Amino acid sequence: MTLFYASLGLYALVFLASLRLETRSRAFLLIALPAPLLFAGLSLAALIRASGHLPSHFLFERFVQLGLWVGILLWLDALRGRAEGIGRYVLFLILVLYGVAALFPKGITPPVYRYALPMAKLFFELEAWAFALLTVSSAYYLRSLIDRARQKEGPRSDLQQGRRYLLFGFVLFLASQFFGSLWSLQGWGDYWMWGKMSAVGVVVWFYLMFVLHARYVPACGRRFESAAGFFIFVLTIAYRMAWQP
Amino acid sequence: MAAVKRFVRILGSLELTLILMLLVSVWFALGAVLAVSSQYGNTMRSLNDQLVGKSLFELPRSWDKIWSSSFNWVQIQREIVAGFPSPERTVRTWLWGAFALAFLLGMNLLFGIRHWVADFFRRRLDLKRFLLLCMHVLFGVVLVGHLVSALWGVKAVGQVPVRVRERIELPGRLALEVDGIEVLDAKDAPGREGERVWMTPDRYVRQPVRVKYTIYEEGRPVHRGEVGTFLPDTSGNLRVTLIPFSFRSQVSHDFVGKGVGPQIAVTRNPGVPIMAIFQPLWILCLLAYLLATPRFRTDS
Repeated sequence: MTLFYASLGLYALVFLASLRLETRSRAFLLIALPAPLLFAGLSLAALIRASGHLPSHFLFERFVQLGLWVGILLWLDALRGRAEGIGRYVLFLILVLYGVAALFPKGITPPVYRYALPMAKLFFELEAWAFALLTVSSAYYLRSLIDRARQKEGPRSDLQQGRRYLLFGFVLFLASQFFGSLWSLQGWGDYWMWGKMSAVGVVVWFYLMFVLHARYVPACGRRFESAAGFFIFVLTIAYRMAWQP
Repeated sequence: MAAVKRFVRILGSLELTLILMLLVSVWFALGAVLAVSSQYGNTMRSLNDQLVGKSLFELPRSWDKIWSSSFNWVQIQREIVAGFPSPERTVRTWLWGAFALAFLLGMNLLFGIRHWVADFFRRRLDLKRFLLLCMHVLFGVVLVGHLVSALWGVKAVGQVPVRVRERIELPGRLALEVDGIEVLDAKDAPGREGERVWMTPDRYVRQPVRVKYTIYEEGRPVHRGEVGTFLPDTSGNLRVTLIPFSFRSQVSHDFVGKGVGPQIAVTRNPGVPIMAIFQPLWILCLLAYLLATPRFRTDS
């Protein structure tokens, strides 16, 4: 828990510093991010050590993992010089994830849970990376939305970048759902089981397709696309809430 | 003729696509609320006990409202579902709605890609459009796979928990009978994939079990087999699965009256090969599209 709150505090500090420094120095994120990443990594390592496997069912452990993956993606973008001005938005979303995680029971999936099944592993891990990409995508949409609300013509590439991350996230999400259906086939005799998990899976699946198609309908406009794109972040949180045992 | 053209244009329009996709999202969000609600959750889960096509007209059983998920937005649920009719009627109406949306989506897809199909036969498609056509066609095939699964095949489940001499009647004068149940100790199943597990995510301990069964055809035994949790067995086209014990999913309708434990499911789903082949192809096609078009033009 100490490690979790330490990483939360460090992410918050980097976020606050990014409000002033991010646009002044291109190396800011590159230098500042490793500290929260280290503590987030240590939190995840502690969770893995306690449960014996990577996070699966519980929202708290999933969001600790997600916060780390999103942070890594941001750092990699900073390394490639592509994170200019987006860092604060991504960091803000990480803080929201950690804030939600802090409100939930600090449970971990039991050490003896049937995590050894390859299909279950692929399902959970691909989903974690899909949600990390979708979170970064939402950050671009959020920036675009805020720029438009300020009557400021933000960089047009925000929507392009958001869409690109969204597509990658969508591909990984579909792959995760596919392996999830094989897991279901193996354990429950059918690739589709009616219940809250499959229902929220369809919600996310079709909503992602909705956002992907929205840009081709001129009536929707860019502000609508940005708002709809940002809502993906809210949806991923709701998805994980539904999985909480 | 003009009216037909207009109808076809509307049916294949992107605007309709957007509306349908949003409606599907909202509809399944409502389905998720039903699934976690104390009033409708049990009935919703009973959809798993038989083919979806049958459930459109009649649900197998209905249970009293006993169970409630630990994570339920109780107030929201009450407000959303307070005025709904009986669980069976509500769930069947929801299922019909999902079917209608899927059908409209299929129609929208068919009419929406007609120009790409025409261009394909005229050999006017570039790579990007070709990949777009492929991914939409593959999505259509995946939808068809779900339809096939819903309407054809076999789905029969036994009692909870499994009992010796329990008999599950199957179509085609087939029947499955449980011959024996063996509860294993952890050390009896060392190293076998999946057998190291003793607990559900909701922290209820379960012991690994093996269930021996025989399949009869017109009264004659045709297959003997053994299943464990996550260790299914097959006989011809039939798949026999021991559904693992999950307190949350079973406590509702089984715990109070019958006790908890694993349950046997016998399935034959002709949609599985379609999904197993075409869903990965669809995903690969999306990936190819993504990699082939590194920069998306906003105004394209």
